[in-house]
Amino acid sequence: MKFLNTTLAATVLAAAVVAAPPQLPATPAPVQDIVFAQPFTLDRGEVSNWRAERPEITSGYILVLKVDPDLVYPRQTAEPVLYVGDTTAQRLNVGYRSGHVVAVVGADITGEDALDLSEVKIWFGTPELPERVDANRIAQESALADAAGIKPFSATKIDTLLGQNETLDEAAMTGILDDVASLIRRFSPQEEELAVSYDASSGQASGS
Amino acid sequence: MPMHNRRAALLAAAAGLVFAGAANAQVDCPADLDGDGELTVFDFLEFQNLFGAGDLRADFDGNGVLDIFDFLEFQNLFVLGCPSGDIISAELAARSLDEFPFADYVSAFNEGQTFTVAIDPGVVTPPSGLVDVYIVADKTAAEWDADPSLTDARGFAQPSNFSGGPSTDDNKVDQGGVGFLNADAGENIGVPYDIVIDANNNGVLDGGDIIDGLDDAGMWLFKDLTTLGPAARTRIDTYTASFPGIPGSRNQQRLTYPSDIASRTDVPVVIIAHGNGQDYRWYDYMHDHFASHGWVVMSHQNDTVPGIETASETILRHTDYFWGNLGTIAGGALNGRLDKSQTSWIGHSRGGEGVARAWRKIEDGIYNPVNYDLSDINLVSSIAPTDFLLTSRSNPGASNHHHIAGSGDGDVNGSPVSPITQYFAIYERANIDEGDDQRTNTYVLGADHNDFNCCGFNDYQGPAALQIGRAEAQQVAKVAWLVLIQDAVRGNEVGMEFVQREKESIQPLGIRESTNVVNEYKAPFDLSEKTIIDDFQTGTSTGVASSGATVTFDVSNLNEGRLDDANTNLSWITSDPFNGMTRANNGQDQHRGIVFDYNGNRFIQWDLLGTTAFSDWTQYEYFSFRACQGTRHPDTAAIIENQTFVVTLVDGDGNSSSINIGAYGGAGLNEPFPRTGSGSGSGWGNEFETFRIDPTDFLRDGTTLDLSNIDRVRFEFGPASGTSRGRIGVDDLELLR
Repeated sequence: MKFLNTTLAATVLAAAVVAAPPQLPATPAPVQDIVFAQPFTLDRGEVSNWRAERPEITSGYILVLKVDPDLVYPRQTAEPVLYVGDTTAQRLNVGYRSGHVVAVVGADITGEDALDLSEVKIWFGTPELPERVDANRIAQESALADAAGIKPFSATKIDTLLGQNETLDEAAMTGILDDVASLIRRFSPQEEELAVSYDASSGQASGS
Repeated sequence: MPMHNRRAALLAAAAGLVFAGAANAQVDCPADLDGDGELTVFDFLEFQNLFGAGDLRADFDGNGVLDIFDFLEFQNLFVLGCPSGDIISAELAARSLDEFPFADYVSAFNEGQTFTVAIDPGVVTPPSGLVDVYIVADKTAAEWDADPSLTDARGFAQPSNFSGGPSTDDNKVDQGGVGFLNADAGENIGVPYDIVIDANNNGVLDGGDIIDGLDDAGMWLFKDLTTLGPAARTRIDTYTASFPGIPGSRNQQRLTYPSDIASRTDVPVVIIAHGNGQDYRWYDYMHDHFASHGWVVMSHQNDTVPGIETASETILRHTDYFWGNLGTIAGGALNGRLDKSQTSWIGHSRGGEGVARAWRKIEDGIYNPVNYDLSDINLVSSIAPTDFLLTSRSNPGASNHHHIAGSGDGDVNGSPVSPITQYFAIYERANIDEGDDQRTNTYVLGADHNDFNCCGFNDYQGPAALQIGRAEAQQVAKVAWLVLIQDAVRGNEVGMEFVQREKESIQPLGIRESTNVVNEYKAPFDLSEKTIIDDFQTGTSTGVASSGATVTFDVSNLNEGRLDDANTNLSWITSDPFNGMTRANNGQDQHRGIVFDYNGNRFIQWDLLGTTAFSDWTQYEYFSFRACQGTRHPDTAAIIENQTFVVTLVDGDGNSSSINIGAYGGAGLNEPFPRTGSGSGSGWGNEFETFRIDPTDFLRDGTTLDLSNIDRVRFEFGPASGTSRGRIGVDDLELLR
């Protein structure tokens, strides 16, 4: 089929590109702010698919991060990976419209190996599938972030945030999803549909 | 349908049961009252005797009374004469073509649209005078034997005059009253009919009549495939799927099923897996469309952000949960009602790659389903899939694979900029080995990535005037899936014409005429059902086909090689002859073909091998090949329109017959979608489309050609054959039974 006659074609070509997705920002890129942090523990751990080693998560932090929206524009191609210290974080919403990402990072929250959020960088690294990111890759990305001058948030800020929330003790990952749903409603209300699905997941409704 | 004759005596014998009381009368010639096989004065005398005796054998109008009207009816039948000869079975239902071969004897037609009854005088002598054309509800041969009476489904037969001229073009009669033909097949999608030319106008299928559809249906009428089916639907918005390996944050399913599921059995199931940043509730148009046609539809949360391995695991396990928990899902309403062996997977973007990966994981034994197995998955459809995992892992292999994507996709954009974005790559990995099922490609020009869901961002890129929009893209998609699933689960092969024929040849109802769709189809890889002339996978010299046939040509710059754009943009440079080929991805895929150009009269020819498989084309239903224009090449850019060329067959005696591919209703090789970006120039990736020509089309109008002894097949290009110049890619020359 001939699309257009010649005259119209010239007009049409001049009007090309009507809705291009935003360009990917350069990485490494720091998150702009951390606005919420809460530790959690799980009686029954859940394997995380967000890094190659597939660790089991039994504790960690729920975070809300203010970000450059273009970093989290939903793409099918590789997206910037969100890192917290020496691991990847699970993004539980999109956050493009609000500029706020709700994330879970698996970590020890007590003891010698406990993750101190005031001592680790939080940043977006090179676009990749998180499931392919292993410890070596994280080390490489961390070095790039260091070279880019990305720094941890202050201890004061972290302490203030953590002081606002008690540790969540839940039986399983689904148990924290109602809290995640609340955070989405608070920080990324454009994603109400997603919050509803987390309500359903945490409610454990079945077959009805 | 191959032509064949049947003895009228068979019908006469069957009809004899109806006329058992008519002593001496020929059963298919009631006026032959003395039964001598001729109509003479003695038949008049016999009528007179019976009438005078009050014998109801003279009751020719069947009203139980002997009167003048019986005599008039007897006289009418006497004038018509006794049927003679055989019932002739021939192709009749056709699309009218303006040039040779003048008629396209297809099987699928749209409801309410005029079609043509065409007689090829090289095959059948057209009847003289005014004859009735009947469109009859489809009967099997046995049913015709049992009841040869003709009842037109329009309520009236159409008196038609075939000129008897030497060409098919002289013997075509458009059929009116098609609006009276029913195409309502309920939850099916088409209604079959037979076409009969009642040569002796006696209202009975008998000797001398011509029928299209004595065995199989002569034609099918299809409803508007974009419209909902009749089934009322019940939806469960969301419920939790608890199965090992499904993350708690990705454990929701959405379900739609026919509300009268309790009265159904063997219901097929469609499972939908969304893509990244998408949602399992964004595909209600599919839920509604499929469930209204009597199927169960489940979409599930898909764990796409971590990657394709994770997404595919989610697909596999959500499917497992579904099949293992029918006793509780929807309160058990589905339990015992479904047919697990009729499960289709449809995945979008990362989910589109996910379904291909999921198939491969089962095939490779990486995932062992608990509640189903690979044979239960009878369709794997990928919407604009990514290709992160490449050849060995994202590979739908032997599956019945379907691909659909939009040329205006701003996300998985189809360009060679990255292996990830080359959405055709997964499609190309299906149907490459013996035993592999069919593959189908639906390329929707002017559609973007999120047009195939309800709510993703508009990422369209391309000329603004060519953006077709979400609603229209979904109309196209619904047609493709409806016929694919009907074919997969109900064996309705005729509906597949909507994805096998060029869109110009079969414009689906409900889709705008201006919407352009490029269809590509490759039949199952079954060498008992097809013969490959050249797929370019072996015999890699330009002078030798994969079959061993000798190839000669004078087209310019012919290259044979992998269908892989060698760099990361679409700009034309001579060092990248396969520019715009985004089929063989990233150096791992080995799909091959040829490219060449012409600026004048040129040809490429395959000298066949002389063995029966290659030379006897009477055994084949189609000669099939795929071809495309080469994007941004100077010879393409010089003429931005459909490209046409001529296909010529030459037999062992040197006789030849030629058909221009543009003859089939304005069809030809689509010009590249005029999208810019990815380098300089205009035109997006190369758009392979499949052409299937019935070999008997070359015999039209009695053309002298020995189809049982074809020596050469030749493609002829240039001003004498069609478009004056162009850049062309060609692949997969096959003969299909």
